Amino acid sequence: MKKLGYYIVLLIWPALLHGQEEVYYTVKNQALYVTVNIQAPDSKLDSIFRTLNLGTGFTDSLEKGMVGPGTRCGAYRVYTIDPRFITLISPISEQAPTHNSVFDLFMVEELGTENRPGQNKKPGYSDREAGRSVFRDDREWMTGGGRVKILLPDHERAEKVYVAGSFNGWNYLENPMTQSSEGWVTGLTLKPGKHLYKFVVDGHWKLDPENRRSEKDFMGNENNVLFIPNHTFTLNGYENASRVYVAGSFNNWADKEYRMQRVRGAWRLPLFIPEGTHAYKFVVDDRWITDPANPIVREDGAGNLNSFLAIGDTFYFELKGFKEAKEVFVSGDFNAWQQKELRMERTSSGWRLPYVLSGGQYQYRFIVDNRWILDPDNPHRARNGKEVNSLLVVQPNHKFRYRHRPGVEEVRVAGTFNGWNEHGYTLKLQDGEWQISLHLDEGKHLYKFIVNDEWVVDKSNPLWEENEFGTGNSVLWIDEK
Amino acid sequence: MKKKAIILVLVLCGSCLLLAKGSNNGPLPHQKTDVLRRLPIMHTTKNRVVLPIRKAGNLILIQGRADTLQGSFILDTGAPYLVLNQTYFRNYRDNPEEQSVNINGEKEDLKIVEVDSLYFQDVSYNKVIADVTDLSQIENRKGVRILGLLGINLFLDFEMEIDLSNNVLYLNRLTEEGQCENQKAIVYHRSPAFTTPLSLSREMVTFKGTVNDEELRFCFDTGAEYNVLDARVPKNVLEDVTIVRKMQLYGSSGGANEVLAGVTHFVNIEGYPLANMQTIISKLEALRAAYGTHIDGIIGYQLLARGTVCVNFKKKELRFYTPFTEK
Repeated sequence: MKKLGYYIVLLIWPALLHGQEEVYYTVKNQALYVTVNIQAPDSKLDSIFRTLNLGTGFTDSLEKGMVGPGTRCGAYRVYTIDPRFITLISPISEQAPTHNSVFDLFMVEELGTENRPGQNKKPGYSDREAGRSVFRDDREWMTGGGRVKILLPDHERAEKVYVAGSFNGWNYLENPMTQSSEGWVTGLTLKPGKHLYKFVVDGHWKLDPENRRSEKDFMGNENNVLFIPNHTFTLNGYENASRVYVAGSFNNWADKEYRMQRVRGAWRLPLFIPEGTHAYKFVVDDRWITDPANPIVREDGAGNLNSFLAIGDTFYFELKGFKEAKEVFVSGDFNAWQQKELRMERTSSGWRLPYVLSGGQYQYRFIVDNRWILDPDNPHRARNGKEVNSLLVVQPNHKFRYRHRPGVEEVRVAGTFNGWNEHGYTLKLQDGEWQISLHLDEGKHLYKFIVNDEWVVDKSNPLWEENEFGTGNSVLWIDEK
Repeated sequence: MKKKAIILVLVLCGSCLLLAKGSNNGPLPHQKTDVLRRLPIMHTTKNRVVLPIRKAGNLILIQGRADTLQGSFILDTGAPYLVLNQTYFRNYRDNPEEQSVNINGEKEDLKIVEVDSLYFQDVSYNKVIADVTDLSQIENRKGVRILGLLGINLFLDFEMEIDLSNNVLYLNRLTEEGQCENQKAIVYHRSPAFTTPLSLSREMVTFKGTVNDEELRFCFDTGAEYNVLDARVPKNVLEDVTIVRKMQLYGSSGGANEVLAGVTHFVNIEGYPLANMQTIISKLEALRAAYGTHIDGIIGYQLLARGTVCVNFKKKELRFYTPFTEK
């Protein structure tokens, strides 16, 4: 038997010596042999022994010489040990979990992955990536009002054609196309941003042959990309220029990515740009210029001037009163809690600051003459560690409601969207119900209400699933639509 | 404690001892519903139905509609019939005619319902009896809304032709003799790399293969992302497996176990070698005890990823074609 151990160590020696692997598994005689290079750094050894469920103390015991041949540790016994390697042995049956049901469809993943909705977010709509769509046939595909004409030319003999995409959860049955003289066509209303799609022609997936852009997702599918623009760059004049591009912080200043089109005495380009504030310039025949039509020009600190553009709705932070204050700032997680960056302007009724933020939940406070205060006009609260802050929701897309009952003094909501933060987001009592509107990403969310510190499922929502405590979590899907 | 995905009749939690005892005392009293019962009424006007597939990792998704709900279903030949996700079908009325009982003959706490209509493109079913169980873990891990699992008995009238490289599932309608009505498909003009007989037991589809010359019986389960080998297969079988690392094994409804993962160097089916199949090692004796079918392992995605697989339940055969390349 001992010979076998040497044999195994000899077999794995080259791999270990080359430093490729610090742990090596072999199965012989229905036993698992695990050989570990004990000259590896302690942190690595701790990680390996943790994987083997030996606990972090095992590295210490090893260093103190408390481990020798025959020593039992967890499901293993030490088989051989020398200054360089330790080989542990365990019956294979002790290493194999029981497969209880063949119907229990199973998934195999890397160690350390947690069960959290959104972790493996399905490929879909994105509002965080700039881009434009270009079709080979130069078609007019935007028909106004966010309406998009989806066209698959030819395929005269096809019986059924559908379009599937992030906009219908890849459920192609929702969007059948109709045959016309141009080919198969349908109209969709899509919001600005990046969408994915593909055709289904008589049951077969088909990429759009006219769309120049497709990409592969991590799930093993290839899809076309369609950007619905939210801004059109325009540069008037420069009629003699041969090429004009626009570049900016939204595309890392890549100077030849977005070429503008010549349109009656001007250059134009519709683009999708994520919400927020962006710096940009035009590149006219290799010469960088600011946008002559945009008065907002700032220096970048290195002596260069850039035009600036804010995309998205302008939100006004407002603080009423405090007329005696000398200065008021607003600070929050959106500006990394910088104390003196966002100075508010004095108005007749108090203080105000316009600001552009993309959709989401933000925490903030006002700083009135160096004193941090909550927003007195905002009943919604959230907590960052021990600090309670005011909660700002930009572009809410879902309203949570909890019916008021006598004795209910506080209702909060917590879920996967805020890391199950037990302090949650505080709901406001209005018209006999507790309410809060939040901006939630697309996909699946789990949540619960915390009513007077007691966690409860949302009884008005028929969708819920079990959790590890047997108390259930409410289920909410946010669709792109 | 969290409910497990108990899809048929087993009270699995805490019943291992009972199962072990049962398995020692000969065949168990099977009173559960088998593949050939609960047959739904199928309608199609096509003799070759084409269903597009989307992948969620190694799982195969098919779009469909159960009554009014549209969404994704997983093709799962490890399930004998339709299984629905309880998140969406919890409020369906229990079907009084279908009762499940556990191995002691006691009524099982398992929801069985009837779906009036189940629709896929060009094929639909009426009066489909389905188990309702917790599939939340799949949803949460894959980030896709999963309405249910499509089990074997929906496909008994067809030859299933699973062509993953083209992301398509063909359902070829069969004659009484088990011949495909439509013989135009390309695969029928080529010789398969192998044809192997299938055994259709009460609950599962199995076929034989060998590893290191040992004959093994595998369950064919399109919902299995990795091959599974039983920890108690003959010792020279496991010696053909190179263990690479430990991974996490998740069941559909919850629960996670660490598992040894590696590659089986060669699985031979009818003499055809399938090399380097990703494999985990698990204990399958509870399955044997529960379903009365001896299996040594499970093969699913690892076979489908290598070519086109045709499964004919009338002829009881599985054919495998290497990927077709046009000249």
